[in-house]
Parts: sequence; C-alpha cells; structure tokens
Amino acid sequence: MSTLVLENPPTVSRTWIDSRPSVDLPQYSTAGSTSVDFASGVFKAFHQRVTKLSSYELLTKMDKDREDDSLSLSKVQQSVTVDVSQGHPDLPRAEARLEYLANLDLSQSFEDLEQPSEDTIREAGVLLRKLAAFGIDRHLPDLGLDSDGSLVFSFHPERTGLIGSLSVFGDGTYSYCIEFKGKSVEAGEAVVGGPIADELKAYLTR
Amino acid sequence: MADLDPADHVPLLRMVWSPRCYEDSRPTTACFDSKDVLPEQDKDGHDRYVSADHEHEISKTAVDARIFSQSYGDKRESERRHEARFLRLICGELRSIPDRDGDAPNPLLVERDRVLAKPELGIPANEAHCAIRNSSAKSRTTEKGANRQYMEYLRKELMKKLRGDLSYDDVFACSSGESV
Repeated sequence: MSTLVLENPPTVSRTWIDSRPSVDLPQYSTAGSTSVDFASGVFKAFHQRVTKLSSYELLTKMDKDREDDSLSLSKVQQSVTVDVSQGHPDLPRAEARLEYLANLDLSQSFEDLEQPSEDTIREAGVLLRKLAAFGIDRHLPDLGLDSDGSLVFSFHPERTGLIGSLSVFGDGTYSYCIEFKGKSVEAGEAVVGGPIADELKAYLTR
Repeated sequence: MADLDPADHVPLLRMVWSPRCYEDSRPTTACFDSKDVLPEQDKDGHDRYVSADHEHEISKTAVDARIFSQSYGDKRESERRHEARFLRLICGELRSIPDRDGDAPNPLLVERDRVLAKPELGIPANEAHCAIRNSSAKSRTTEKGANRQYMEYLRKELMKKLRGDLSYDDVFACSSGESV
C-alpha cells in the first residue's frame, strides 16, 4: 500500500482561494517541498496528469458550491484543507484502481468493450477527489468499468455504509442512485464540475 | 415458454469478469452491464438481457465455451478460469424488485432461454441458460438522463440481491452439472 508523506502541508485561506493562483497546486505533487511516496512511477505520472487539472477545478467548483448551496466558508475551507493537506486515506487506493482500469488491456476480451476515454478518466478522477473531500470518514467506492467505457463507482455497505451505483461519463456528467437505510437519492444527470447535490452530500458525510 | 421458466426458489449464477467488474474480491455494480440492464438491442435487433445459468443445471461445457469465446489472446486456461466469477441471484428476489415509479410493478422477468448448439461456431447447447429481462417501458425512454438514473437504480437493486460470489472451482467442485 502506498504511503503519503507531506512536508510542510499547504494551507488554504480565503485570500488564497480568491487569488486563484496560476501556478500548479502543490496538492500531492512532487513539486516544491511536498514529497510523496507513491506506489509506482506509473501511478505518479497518472496522478499528475489527472490532478494538475482537477486540483484547480476542484477548488474552483467547491468554492462555487459554497455560493450555490449555502455551504459555509468554514466548511469549504475545512474540506479543501483536508483534501489538499492531508488527503483521504482511501484515495491512493481508488486512484490506483482508476489508473489500472485506464490501462486495462481489453484487446484480450470479447464483444464490443470500449476503452475508457481520457476524458472519462479525468472526470472520474475529479469526482473521486470531490467525494473524498466530503466522505472523509468512510471508504471511497470501488471502481469498475462498463462495456460502454464509462467508469462505475460502486458503494458497498460494509465499506461505505451506503449501497449504490454511480457512473461517470466522458462528457463530464454522472448519474447515481445511492441508498442509505432504505432511502434512496437519485440523479439522472449531474455535472462533475458542478456542486454535489445537498442530499447526496448529506449521505456521504453521515 | 412460461411453464419452463425457473421457479422463484431457483438460484442463478451470473458469470462476470474480474478484474474489470471486480475490485480485489469485491463485485462492483459494473457486473450488470448498462447495455443489458436498460437494455439495448443486439446486432439482430433483439433486446439484450442479463445472462445467467440455473445453478443446479449449470453446464461446465457451456461455461468453458463461454469463457474461451469471451476471453482470448495469450492468457493461459487457468488464468481465464480464474478471472471468471459467478454471482448467485435468486429468481424470486429478482422478480420482486419494484420499479422505481411504479411504471411496471416488477420490471425484471426471469425466463428460461435455452441455447441451441451451433457447432460451426463452437457453441454447445446450454439447457441451463436463463435471461433476466427488463420489461419496463421506462427503459425505452429517449430521455438520456432519465435512462441513466433508472440504470443506476436497477444496478443498486441487483447488487442488493446478491446471495453469493463464487469462483470457477467453487461452482464446479460442488455442482451436479456434467463434467468435461
């Protein structure tokens, strides 16, 4: 299992969010004084590919969440700070799995399996990190691959306290149906870059 | 034929593939393919369905043929069998899954769907084969978002009905099906 070691973890301030730095974020990156021991060089390369874009998007969209759905500034900062400086303990596992599925050789499989597109992988990475920010106390979903190339997030009750399914598509949308104690929350279509629905957020943070 | 459909107490085994549909030893909702659940039409214009076998009648010959037709390349036989997994589902529990909006009270039908032998294609007969079909008109809506929502709902419900997760050796060590 990979270990995450952060030296001088960055902090996020209101000013920092507002200033929207144009430099790469230090989130889990090997730049600057932050050092990370990832499982493999392949994973590191993938991680950089996915998170360089997604880090900024994540912060931008979470900031927008605050404006859109009345999340308090302190809660946004808390989530961002957790995501940037500490990380979700299950995120390396989930991202390694995403990397694995991105490179799964489907040429030795049957029928009409579609390889997930780069867009799908990128969007799935963004959403994983977003879920990680909200569901800090629980496992992240397991990942599978549908024959149409969409990424499937699967919530197991033993690991997540939830049961359900969520699919991420290359067009930047996702759909889900997640159940908690017999009550389901569903979405036909949601945008990865948009705010997470309050009801879903509430499930993820229970 | 309706009188041949498996009874409610009958266990089915659905063959799925790891590692695409499994993370470690855990099945994901990708075990239920979107094209089968909603469903799309196959190249012959027929609705697709979730494929499974009657557990008590499962045929090692038919499963082996499926394994080797669905997985090719340079993998060893043992590796292909190792990657095949079998989810146990109970017919009556599948039939009892409610539709989300009450469009059809119970959208999933479980039917006997015997496979006839096609020697020229290397397909043996499979008396144990069953089809889990989605009969709901909702699956045919043209509204993309609604379709996706419905698909996730059915996947979630199907996952709730899992009653076992078996390996190839588990299935054929205790099965009464014929051996090769």
